[in-house]
Amino acid sequence: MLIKPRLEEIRDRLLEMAKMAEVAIENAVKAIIEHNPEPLKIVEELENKIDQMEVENESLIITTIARFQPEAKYLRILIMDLFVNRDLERIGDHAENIKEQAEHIITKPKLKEYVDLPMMTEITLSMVRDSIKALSTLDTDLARDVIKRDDKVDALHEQIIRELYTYMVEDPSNIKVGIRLIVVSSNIERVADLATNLAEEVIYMKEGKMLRHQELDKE
Amino acid sequence: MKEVEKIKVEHLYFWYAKSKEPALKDINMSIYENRVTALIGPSGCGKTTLLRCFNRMHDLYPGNRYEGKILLDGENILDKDYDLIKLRTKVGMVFQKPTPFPMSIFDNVAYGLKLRGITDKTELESRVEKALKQAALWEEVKDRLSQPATGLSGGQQQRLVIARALAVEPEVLLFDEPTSALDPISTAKIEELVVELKKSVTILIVTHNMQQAARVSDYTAFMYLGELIEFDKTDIIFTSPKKKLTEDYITGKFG
Repeated sequence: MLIKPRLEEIRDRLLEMAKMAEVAIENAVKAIIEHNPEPLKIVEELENKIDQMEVENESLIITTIARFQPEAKYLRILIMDLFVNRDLERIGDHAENIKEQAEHIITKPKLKEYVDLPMMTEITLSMVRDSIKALSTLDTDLARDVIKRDDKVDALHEQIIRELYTYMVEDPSNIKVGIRLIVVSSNIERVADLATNLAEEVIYMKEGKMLRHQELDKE
Repeated sequence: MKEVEKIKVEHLYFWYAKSKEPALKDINMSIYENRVTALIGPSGCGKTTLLRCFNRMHDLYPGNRYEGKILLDGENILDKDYDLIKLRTKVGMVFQKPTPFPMSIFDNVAYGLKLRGITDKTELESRVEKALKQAALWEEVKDRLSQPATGLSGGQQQRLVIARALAVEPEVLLFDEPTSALDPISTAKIEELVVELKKSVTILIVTHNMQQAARVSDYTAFMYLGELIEFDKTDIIFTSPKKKLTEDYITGKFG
C-alpha cells in the first residue's frame, strides 16, 4: 500500500510536534513555579517550530487525501490527523499565553507557595503525554483513561480560582498577580481539554466512534 | 530535494504521416532524474504520442515528423544522427498489454542481453536474477525459470516484461498504461514496483487512471488537444492546480 509510508510520516511528524508542545507547556509553568525566567527561553522557540510544523503537516495531510482518496480506516486516520495537528498547535498557543503571563508574574514577589498549580500541571501534562502515547499505538484504553482525568483538572482549576479570590479579597495589591495566575490556570485547563480532544480523536481513528460531547459512561 | 534534469523537452511538435494538424504542439517540460512523471489527459490528448517520442517509436512508421528538441542528458535524441540503438538501450518501454515472447521465463529476460552479445552463462544468470528481483517477481518464478512465460498470470507477465526491460539497465523507463489490463491486486503490485524502481531509473508513465497518477508520480503533466496545459508537482496538480482546465479534468467535469 503506497499510502502507508505517508501515514507513518504524518504520524511521526505529529508525535514530534506533540513532544514540543508538551515541553513548551512544562517550561512555561516551571518558570512560574520556580519564579525563574530561564525556562521561558525555550518556549518561544518551540512555539515557532510548532506553528511552522502545523502548516507543513496540514499541507501533507491534504495532499495525501487528494492523492490516495482514502476510505474507511485510512480516511478516519487522516481526518483525525488534521484535527490532532490543529489541537497540538493550540496547545503551543497556550504555552505562549502562559509564558506571557509568567513574564509579568515573576517580576512580582511570590503570592504563595504553589500547591494546586503544579498538581494541575502534572495531571494535564500526563494527559498530553498519554494521549500522544495512545495516538502512537492507537491504544484506546489509554485514551479513555485520559478522558477521565479531565474532571480532576477542572476541579483543580475551580479550587485555584477560589483560593486566589480569597487572596485578592484579603489584599487588593494581590490582584495584579492573582488575575494573571487565574489566566494561567485557565490556559492549563484548556490544554487538558485539548488533550481530551486528542484522546477522543484516537478513539475515532481506531473504532470509528465519536465520543465528543458525550459522557464516557454513556458509551 | 534537489532535482536533476534528465530529459528536457523544447518546443516539441509532432505530426503523424499525412496529417496537417500537429498531434503535439509546442511542448516544453523537464523530466527529473529518479522521479516518476505521469502524463494524464482525456483520450486523444497526445499523452501516448508524447511518450512514444522519448524512444522515437514513431520512427517505425514512415512519414511521421518531429520538430523541436528532446534533450536526454543534454543530447538531442531527435537528431538524425542520434544512434537509435543507443537510445533504446537507455530508454526502455513497457506496454499496456503484457508482451512476453513465446519462450521460457529465463530466455525472455535474457533476450536483450543476448542481443547485446552477452553469452557467458554465469553472467546471464546473475543478470536475469537481478532483473527479476528488481521487478519483484523472483520469488514467484525462481523454481520454474525454464517454463514458458505464457503460463504466468497477467500481472506476473507484466512484471516479467518489466524485468526484461530492466535487464539491459536502462536509465529511463516508459510505461504506457501498464495496468489497464490487470486486476486490482496486480495493479497495486505494479504501482508499488514503479515507486520502488525510481530509485534506480527515471520513469514516465501514461495512465488513464488519474488516481494511479496521483498515487505513484512525483510530477504530473496534464495534456489536452495536443498541448501541455499544466505541469507541476503531483501534490500541487491534485490539490491546487493553476489552470481551470486542469481543475475541471481532475474534478471529473470532462474527459
